[in-house]
Amino acid sequence: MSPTSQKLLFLFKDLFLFRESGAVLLPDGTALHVKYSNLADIGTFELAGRTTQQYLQLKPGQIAMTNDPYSGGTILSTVTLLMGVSLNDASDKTDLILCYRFLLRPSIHFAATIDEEGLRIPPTPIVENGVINQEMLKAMAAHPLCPDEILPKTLQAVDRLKTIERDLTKALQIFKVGINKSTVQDYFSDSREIMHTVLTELPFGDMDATHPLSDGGKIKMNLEIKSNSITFDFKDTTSSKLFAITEAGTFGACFGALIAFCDDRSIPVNAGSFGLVQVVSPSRSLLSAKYPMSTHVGMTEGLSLTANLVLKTLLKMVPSKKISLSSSSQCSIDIQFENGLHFFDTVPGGTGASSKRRGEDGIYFWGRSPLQSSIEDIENRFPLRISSIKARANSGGRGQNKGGDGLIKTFEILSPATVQWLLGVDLKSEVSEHSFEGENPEINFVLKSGKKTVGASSGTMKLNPGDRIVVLSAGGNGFGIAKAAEKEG
Amino acid sequence: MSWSIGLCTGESFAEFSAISDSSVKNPPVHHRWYLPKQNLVEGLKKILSENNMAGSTIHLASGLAQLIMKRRAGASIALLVTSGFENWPKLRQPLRESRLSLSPRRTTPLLSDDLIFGINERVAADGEVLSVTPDEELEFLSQKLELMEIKNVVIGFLNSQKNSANEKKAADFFRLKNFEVSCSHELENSNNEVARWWRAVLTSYVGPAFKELEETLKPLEEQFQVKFKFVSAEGDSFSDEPRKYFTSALAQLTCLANASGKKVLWDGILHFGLESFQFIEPDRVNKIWNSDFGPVALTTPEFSKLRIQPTQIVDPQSVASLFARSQESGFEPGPMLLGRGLRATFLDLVYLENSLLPIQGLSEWIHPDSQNKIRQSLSTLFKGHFSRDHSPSEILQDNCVSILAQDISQKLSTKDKSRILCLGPLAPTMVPLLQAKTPWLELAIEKISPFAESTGCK
Repeated sequence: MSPTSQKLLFLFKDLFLFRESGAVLLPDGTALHVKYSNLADIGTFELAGRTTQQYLQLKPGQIAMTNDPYSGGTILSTVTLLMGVSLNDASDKTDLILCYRFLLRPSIHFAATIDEEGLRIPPTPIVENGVINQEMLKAMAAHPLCPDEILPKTLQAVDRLKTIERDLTKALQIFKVGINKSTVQDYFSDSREIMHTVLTELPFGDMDATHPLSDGGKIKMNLEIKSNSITFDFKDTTSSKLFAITEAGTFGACFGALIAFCDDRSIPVNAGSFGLVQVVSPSRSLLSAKYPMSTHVGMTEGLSLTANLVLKTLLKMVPSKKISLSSSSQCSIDIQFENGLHFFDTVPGGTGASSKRRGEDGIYFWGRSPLQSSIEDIENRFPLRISSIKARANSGGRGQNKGGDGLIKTFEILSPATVQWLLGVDLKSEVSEHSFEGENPEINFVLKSGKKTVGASSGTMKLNPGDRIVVLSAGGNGFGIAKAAEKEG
Repeated sequence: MSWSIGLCTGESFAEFSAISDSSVKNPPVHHRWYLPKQNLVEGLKKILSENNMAGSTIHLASGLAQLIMKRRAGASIALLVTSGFENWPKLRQPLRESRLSLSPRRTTPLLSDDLIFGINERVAADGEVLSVTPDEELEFLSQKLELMEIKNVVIGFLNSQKNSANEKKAADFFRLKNFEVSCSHELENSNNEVARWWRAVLTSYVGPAFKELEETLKPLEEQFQVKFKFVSAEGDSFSDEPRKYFTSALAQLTCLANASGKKVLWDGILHFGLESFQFIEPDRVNKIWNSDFGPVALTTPEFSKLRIQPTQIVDPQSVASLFARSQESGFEPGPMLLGRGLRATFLDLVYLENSLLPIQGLSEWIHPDSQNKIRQSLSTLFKGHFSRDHSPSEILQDNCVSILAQDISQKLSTKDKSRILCLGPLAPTMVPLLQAKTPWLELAIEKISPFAESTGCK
């Protein structure tokens, strides 16, 4: 690796904080560096850069925002800021596009179209000549479907983006590297080489995999590993009423599953390594959503399901990895109180066991959620009481090593509210000779009257003070067939 | 004649600084020693025999609590929490990695799940007691703990900062039965229950080891007519106060933040110690310490460990992973320059590049053949990694210093120019290297640690 490439990798590594998502792009949208916190982040920044540049051609200091999944966003409550950056003070030429993604409080929407899901913001300039267009942000905030707190959070994010820009320009001085055609070429070539080395450790060949969906649709994939590329071909995948994912999202699911599988810290996440990964998503399939299809479910649960299918196939191709699948669903609940307060939470499931150890309880495998509120903090801010949060005993799959348990989280409602929930788009159905399946997610409602209702995998319900919601997330799969487990089975 | 005396102990080094308070001018006494070669008591005996410091107080910022936490070697304790939340402390533990990985795992817990017990009590967010701590559960649990030979009990109930009645009731019960008890509401007011619980746990977890240390130091107090007092994270000194022992873990940072009493002049303090590199922002207060096992309610100056540490291992794997979670060797067996370690560290790179200036307590232990060994080791490990124009140590040192410079620069990125006070034995070595990379920072070295003044003034 050239010293310059190594320096670029070093300086990009800590440009963003632990739980932040962002990217450094070339002016044409090519990714020099992507910092992700979930699958959707991985493939979408390049699209955000390309779309924004196509319409706006950002000048240095100019900042645009978008949340539109069809323009490189992920879900509508996640906003991407893009800023033109010049590396030469005297120049008005944009050398880089710096991206920063921030979260507004998510909400669940069961909608037929994206415009029914919420306010969709195509790439829109919000900072020109150093001035933030607050009027436009206020107009967005006035939209009935706009997520909470868009104005203050955007102002904070603009400040953060400017800080990251300063950090980036100082880091380039510290490491004494310039970003020009030749260094970028070397950098991508070195990144490709690292990815190539990782791929050569995988067995060459191909494998078919299918995941049938409960509405009759299916995800069908042929995964082919060659010496210098890996191809995920979804050519016979159908459309589905359950969910739709954008092509950029599908790429993220495949790339994310690959890096999780390879478990190699050295894999750079940039256009160099992306170049060896081909994803074929046929148009009109659920993996190539087209406007105005609704994408919220697809860009959350659908991505996890697709990534699980990829991971399952890779694990079959490389059985020496000896590890079972984790729960892929996030188990989201969204409580809208009549007094206007809005609460959102997820309940993660268990991870898969391996030949060496049991799975972990309550970790969302496909993302690193920043939601870590304390119980007391939630109870102080919202009219609800959390009665318990504990491991869901024996929900992890059996085996020589047990899968990690899911969780049971119980909420008591203290003020009239409407709850919406989404446990997952499709339940896993994976049992192999090495693996026992963990329990599926569930949701129960215990009304103040004593009446108990079992919820479907998604839905909406009105609740009154004293009613309880019990969310049970899925267990991870167990590994290895223990003798006792065989007897039990 | 009285002295202002500060003593700072880490895992492998002890540092003693004394400044005479009397009008008769006495030269200051500074001594640093390598604990594996001379233990704490022997080192102190030597200094106190050579200098008459009778009547003085030695303010001790002890790294003992950090060491106990790192080794997960504290006292056996039981944590009592609100029923239904027994797994919550574990679930709030951070993950080891921020990237996607095949087997995501949490960090090693401080307490086993078997030692966390639920009690059917509940206080609401507004302080209303919804259920009173039941006597029969406490009775049952006390018998169980006696059978398990556990003498330390920590009580952490939800919303106890709003109404501590339930915690107090449980505490009174266990105190009557002669258990050592810590309650979460007694230590720090925070709306983050897990942070409060861990603070109470740590108070009990490190307590016995501190008592032992106090016992070890007592003969010195009698022999040399001195008094030992610990320094807390708030900067005050204390002895025989079990509730405060744990706060001594981060006392050195507070003392450094108070350094020279000149904090208004500085935007930050860089401490280049032999065992760690830290950045401290003296004018910012942090109410939660994010430990490797989760949040802890503790008021300290804002501080962070820098991305490169003195004993950070440097090998192709750590470089390829961009030093993400790369290991620190510590001083046991230590860097290769001491002749026992087998893996090169950042300190070895600096030594090989002839940048390492003499340091009392370290230089005398440098092995004469170590330069060749480090060079050979790096040549073998990094064969083919770099062009022949530069030695591996030159490139690696340059990269590591750049990473440090970027890290420091990011911490100060809201300011165009910043003034940084640099302290610690490695400051004279590190400052020229860093200054060359960051001309916009004003780095000033305080060659003699102001530790004694900052502790002595309290």
